[in-house]
Amino acid sequence: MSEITVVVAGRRPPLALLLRELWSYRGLAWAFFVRDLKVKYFQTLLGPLWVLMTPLITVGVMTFVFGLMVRIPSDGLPYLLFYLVAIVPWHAFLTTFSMTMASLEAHAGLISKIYFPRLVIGLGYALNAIVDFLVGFGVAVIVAALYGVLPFGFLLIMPVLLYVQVAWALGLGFLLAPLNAQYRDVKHVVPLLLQLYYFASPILYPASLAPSWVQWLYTLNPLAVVVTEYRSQLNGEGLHLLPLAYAVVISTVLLVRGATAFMRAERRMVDVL
Amino acid sequence: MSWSIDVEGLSKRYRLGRGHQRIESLYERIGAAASRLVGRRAPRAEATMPPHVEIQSEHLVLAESQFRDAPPGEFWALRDVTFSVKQGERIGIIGRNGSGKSTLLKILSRVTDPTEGQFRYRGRLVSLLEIGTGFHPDLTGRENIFLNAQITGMSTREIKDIVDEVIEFSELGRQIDTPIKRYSSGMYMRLAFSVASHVRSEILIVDEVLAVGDAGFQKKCQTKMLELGNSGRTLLFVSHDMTAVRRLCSKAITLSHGVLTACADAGTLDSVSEMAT
Repeated sequence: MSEITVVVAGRRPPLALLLRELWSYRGLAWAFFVRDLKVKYFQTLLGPLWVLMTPLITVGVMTFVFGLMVRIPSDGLPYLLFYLVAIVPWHAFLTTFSMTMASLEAHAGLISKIYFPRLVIGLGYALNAIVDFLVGFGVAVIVAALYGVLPFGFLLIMPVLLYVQVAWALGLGFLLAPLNAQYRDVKHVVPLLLQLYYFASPILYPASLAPSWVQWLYTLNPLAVVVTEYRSQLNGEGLHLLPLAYAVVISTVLLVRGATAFMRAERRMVDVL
Repeated sequence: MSWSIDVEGLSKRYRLGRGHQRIESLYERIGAAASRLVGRRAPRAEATMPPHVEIQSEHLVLAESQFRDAPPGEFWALRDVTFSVKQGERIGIIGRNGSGKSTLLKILSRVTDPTEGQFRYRGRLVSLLEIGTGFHPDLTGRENIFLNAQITGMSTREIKDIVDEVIEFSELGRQIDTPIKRYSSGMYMRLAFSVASHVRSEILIVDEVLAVGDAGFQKKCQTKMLELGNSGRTLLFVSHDMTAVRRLCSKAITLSHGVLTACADAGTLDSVSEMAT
């Protein structure tokens, strides 16, 4: 006999049920991912080449301005590589986070018509950003090989750092998405905060340049750990286990916290959108 | 036959005015907190009450009764609705604009939560609320079949089994591989209905889709819907069109101002529709 669904006013559905539902809708996350992938380069001339173009142009400009003109210290790395391993994770973080945050609003038409775990929209975005990231990482590997610096550790640490970066972006996005749906104020504040965060993370400069009394901030910021770890791996240094452990724990806690808050709030969202 | 949907005392309260429910801007909230600190009561409830206007009309969308027992500034879109649907039944839901039909469907399809009451249903419930909900204009018809079926909770393997059937039913032929933004609204609707009617669900909710499409396809849809009912699937059909309801449904429910006013066989629908209008 088929399953019975019971809905009672004012009673929260148990978390186990939500998780089971999420699992049964995993195909939808994939479908959203495929849809966005197909749509992204629909009616473009260059098509998937844009995945390469976007980070390369940014990195090119940075290499020129901060490398050749300002001459920021780069921990001994070639500027191209120094900025590539920062911009590629940053872009993936940025798209995952901001798309997830806006996911409820962007799918308002769908959400007010049909039920599915809304979490899968964010998961679809994350998959898309991962693809972009992997392409960018591939470019970084090629560039590193051309410069003759391609330590094994650089490739080996990538899955861990990718996890940290995705979990961090999704967690933040899930946490802010219900808030963004209810208070349109969030839309005005977040771009500003993102800009501040951009400068607070060691993207344009190496973390080693920061004064010692703010170094702890770079340990607690998972994205800073990601970028710094890529750079130090390229320099052939050993693993920085403590910051890595912090980053894994912080991003995991945030992901779980964000996802549960999101699932609890999603039932109210329809009446608010 | 066993029950398929069981609804008990379902109510939904909405807020009048600009927000649907308790939506406040951050600014309002800070203001309220500040005035609480100073010891003044925030004059919120009074402010959101719309001015009372006396209008003489045959049918007001909101009746006085809908404000009874509701906090100031709120009203009952649905009040204490109870009914039961047996497996394989085809139920018509009739009512004027604002009578609570859509609210009922939204609650049943779990898009929004009820304020009071409860309901249960057996098996998968799919609602075809609006034509092509979740279709993406840049994707082809075939791609949209996959996307749409996936949104209703089908697995990729299940969809592969039905996709040829869906395409055949839609009669779109080679157009199926064209981005649907190039479709006419009739073609769009054909695709939407074809997907929904082939989705594996025990319960199907249909909201006035039959109003579109050419006569030939409308007839095909109705035959398909009768067929679905005969194969043991439960059908909820919302419409203003009495003839369609009479032709398709075995039972009918009428709603008026959020209250269930009648539940009768479709054969006696003439007297039922009299009450609804």
